[in-house]
Amino acid sequence: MHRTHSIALALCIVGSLAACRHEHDTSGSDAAAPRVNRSVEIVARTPHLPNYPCAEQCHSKRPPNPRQRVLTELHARIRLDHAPVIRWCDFCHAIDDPNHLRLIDGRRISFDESHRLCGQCHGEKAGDWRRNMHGLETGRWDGAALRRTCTACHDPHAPGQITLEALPPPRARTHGGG
Amino acid sequence: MARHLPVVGSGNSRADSSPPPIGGAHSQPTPAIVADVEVEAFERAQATRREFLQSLGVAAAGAAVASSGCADVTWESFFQKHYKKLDVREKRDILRRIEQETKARYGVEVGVGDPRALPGVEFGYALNLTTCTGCRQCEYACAAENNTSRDPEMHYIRVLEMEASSFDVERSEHHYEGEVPQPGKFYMPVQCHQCRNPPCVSACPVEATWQEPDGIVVVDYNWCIGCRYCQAACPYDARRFNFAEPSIRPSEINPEQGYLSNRIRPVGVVEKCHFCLHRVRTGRYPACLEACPVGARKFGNLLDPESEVRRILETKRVYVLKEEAGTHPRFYYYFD
Repeated sequence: MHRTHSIALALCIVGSLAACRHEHDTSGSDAAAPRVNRSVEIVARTPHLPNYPCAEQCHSKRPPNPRQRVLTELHARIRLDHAPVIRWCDFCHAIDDPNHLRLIDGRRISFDESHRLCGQCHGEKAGDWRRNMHGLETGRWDGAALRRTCTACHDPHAPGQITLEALPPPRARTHGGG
Repeated sequence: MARHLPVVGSGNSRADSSPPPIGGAHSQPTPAIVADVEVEAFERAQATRREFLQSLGVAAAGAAVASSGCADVTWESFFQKHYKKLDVREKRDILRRIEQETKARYGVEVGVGDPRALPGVEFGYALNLTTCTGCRQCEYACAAENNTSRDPEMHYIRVLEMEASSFDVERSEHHYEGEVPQPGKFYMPVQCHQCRNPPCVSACPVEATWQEPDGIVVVDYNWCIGCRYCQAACPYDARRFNFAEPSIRPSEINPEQGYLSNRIRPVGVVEKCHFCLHRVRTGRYPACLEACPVGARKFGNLLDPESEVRRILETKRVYVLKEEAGTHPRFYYYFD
């Protein structure tokens, strides 16, 4: 009798497991397909910088001046309005190596890697950017994608709200036109 | 006195025929032969009636096709089966036919495909309301990608301008202009939410719209009867109706098309956002996401724990529009 019960119980368990399994299978797509070919390329900034390479274009002949002053002749359009701690170019730019940016620990990095520089202070945002929760990525969601670095969107000298001109409003008054 | 029912088409009344059982309280047991005769006669009459109705139906349908005056309605399209009942060959013929019709009508070579849902994929969308500037780039990129009518103008995405620190969609402004974002305002683009519990699908009386395995709610534009019940059922005002023949310049037609997505729709049917089905099922991002200049739009596989959308849902403050409607959307808003 005891044995019969055990067998019945075992059958019940097996049956319920089988039912679960069956339900699992019929729900179709529970098992996520991993993104096997995921690769992210960061879009280079240097081809879009008008005065790059800075050394060859100007600064080999005219070394950067580390003295804080109002710029009236060159770089006059740059308005420096970032954090109070950033008072002059040399906070981010390598004064002795104008083609590169400078990390706080003195290491030189390319203008294409501004996320490494910005991430020193804006760590949380940089973390979001690395996980593609912040910033612009295009291409494939399951494969090769292109990601823009910080300075592609933000002006590092005077960051703030990005303003744009809105495209025309819909002509229809309701239902988006239908 | 037993009552006799007339035997349809039997010709002669048989002497030994017994009354039928109906109402015959004192009737004799019905001989089998009479029942057979009656059934036969009944079937014959029904068959005649059926044939007659069928011929009438075909004639009426033919007349409808002939008299519709609409170049879109061909014999093949009128009698086309429901999408889910098409076999591979029929589907292939339909896709070729649509390509030919588009060529004849707009003079443009297009390719109409039918990419299927990917296994292990359920699409989700997350939109960052903190960064959205309300520039409407997504709205116009969507129109260009999805061949929506330019005149009358149709857009799947609407961007609502609302007062900061409020969430009053009823008082939102759809027709703002100029520089954005305006101080004290925030912007919320709304499109189809691809609900897990879609009221539009339940409302459709002919099953012309349904939810695919990857979560995208699609419309078979050839099966839609244009009753607009789905449009009334949607709490997000995501569905659009072609009141007039859609017009689009041949040079602006996107030739990469999908049967359930962005092929040019006929007049009198409902359409809506489908997460750019023809793009996302081939691994690409939706057009609205790529057009966003501030990267406010994020898209991916909800079943993949490493995907962006999953990380956003797990770590950010997430808002579901009209959560109380019980639609369980796959479109989320978030703040950071």
